[in-house]
Amino acid sequence: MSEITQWSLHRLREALRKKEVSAVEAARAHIDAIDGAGALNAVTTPTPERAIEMAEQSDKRLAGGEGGALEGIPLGVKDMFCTEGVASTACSNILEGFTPPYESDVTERLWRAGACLLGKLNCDEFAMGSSTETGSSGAVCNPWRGSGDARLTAGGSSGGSAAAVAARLMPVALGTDTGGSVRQPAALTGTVGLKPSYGRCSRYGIISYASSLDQAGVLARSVTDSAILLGAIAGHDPRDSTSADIEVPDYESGLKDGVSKMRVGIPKEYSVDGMPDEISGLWKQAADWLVEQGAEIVEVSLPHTRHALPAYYIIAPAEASSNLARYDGVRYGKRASANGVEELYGRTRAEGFGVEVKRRILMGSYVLSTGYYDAYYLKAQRVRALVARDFDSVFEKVDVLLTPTTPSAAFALGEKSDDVLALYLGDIFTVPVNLAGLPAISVPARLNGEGLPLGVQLIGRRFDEATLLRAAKAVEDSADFNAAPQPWWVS
Amino acid sequence: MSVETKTIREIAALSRLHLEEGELEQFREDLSKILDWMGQLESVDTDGVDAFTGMGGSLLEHARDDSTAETPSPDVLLSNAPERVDDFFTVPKILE
Repeated sequence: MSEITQWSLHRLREALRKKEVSAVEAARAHIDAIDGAGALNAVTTPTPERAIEMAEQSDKRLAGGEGGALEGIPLGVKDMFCTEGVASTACSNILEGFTPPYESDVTERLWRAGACLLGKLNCDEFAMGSSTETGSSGAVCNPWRGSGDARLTAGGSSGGSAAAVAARLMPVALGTDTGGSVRQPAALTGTVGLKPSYGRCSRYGIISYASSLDQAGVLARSVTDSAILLGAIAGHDPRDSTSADIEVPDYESGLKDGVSKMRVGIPKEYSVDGMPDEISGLWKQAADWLVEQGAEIVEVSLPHTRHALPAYYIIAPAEASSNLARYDGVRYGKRASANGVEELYGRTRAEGFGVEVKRRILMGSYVLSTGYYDAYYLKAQRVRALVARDFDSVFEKVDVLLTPTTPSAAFALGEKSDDVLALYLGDIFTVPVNLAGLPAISVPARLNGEGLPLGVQLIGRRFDEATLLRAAKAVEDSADFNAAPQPWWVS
Repeated sequence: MSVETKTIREIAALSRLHLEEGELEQFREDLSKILDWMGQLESVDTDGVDAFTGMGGSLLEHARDDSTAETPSPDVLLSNAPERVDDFFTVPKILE
């Protein structure tokens, strides 16, 4: 294994600028790591030729003393992003063979900054899931293993991105987060997962799941690396009218300012029944770390927290049922053979979508249909307003909130696939953030008794990622988490 | 609450989703269970609360300039079409 793959984005960037290593060497080292990690199933479409080509261009620019903020950095992108000329399928059979004629805004920014595409990363079909088991490419295996040899989930839906970063197949990766799909896999793989505020990044070219909740996100092995990558992908895009036309601060340089006098809220409603001691203990520990670094802890209340999850599982499928109506076998993707156009739609969608996607389409159509709209959809949108209002009033008193990211460490693959509700309940701490459009980050903090990573979540004010990242850096500094999974998968 | 098979059939038709008999029963059970769980929202007092309609604020209320721009060629737009004739997407015949 090449030493280069152990480096952070920050370290690799320095080495590239000082010409200690070339972009092509960096790309090759990571391509080799991906080649040897088939057992993880993290990468669905490797793009080694493209990576080398892009790296050659980066080396030319670096030789001339030029280059963008990510010049020569190899990385991967969740299969939810449209990448021009590279298959983009949302890990769904219905988009089999779909090769976008255009590039998503966020990935366009990456290439403009000099990054090199290593490949597209595995996820749950249309990002609908919390275990990366439902996609057309099959399950992602967590590089971490517990005391036994059981194959564990890397979380989801950005499980491929999280596993790839944790296994040192790439220093950073892009994911998307609709209800926790970046933060939850980050927590289960010992990586940093950052979901920016709704509107911080453009959604143009991200395959839509639930448009009022979807946001691009970042997987990295350090808070600094996540800050660097966020700086590269954030910004207004006229092609997405919900992207905010506001300044993007220098997140990286802001990290040094520390947390002195920062007010950190602990929402008491996140202390749910049956929370394992390892989770509540870690939560308390993280609060103590922040106090040691000069922050002040304030107990706060978010009274509608427990209603966020059912509201989310009404709103997200409702939006999905509408967004996924476009997959009809006419303009792109799969087409089933059929007599007549109605049958064409029905058969194409029956063959193209997997069980979880069908379930959510049906749920969404149900809650939006006449007779149920008021009782479910409208009620959920009212509850959503209350959840958002809770956060608004709490953020008058505190600068960030501290909570656990997940109610448990990584579970076994297949463990929850027969129990839909059990899987949904795992999103309990991440979903409220999306309903309110806030930024949040999961920071790895320690290993549990089984040797599996656990993370804590920090939540910030809308568009105040700078403060959020400073708090995250403080937790990271105290936690001093530098464990890495044993590379059992290397073939 | 128990959802009827007939309702699942109607919802599937609205969703343009063909379901086999076995799937109908599975989804009927799943939806009944999930909707039961969602029923807890009934107890939340939302009187006088306006439904959430978006992230709001002046930040997000900008319209693009109404200016002309190049559009991709028909070949580009049709490049992923499962079937095409000339510059058109094709579908099975809809009129006798």
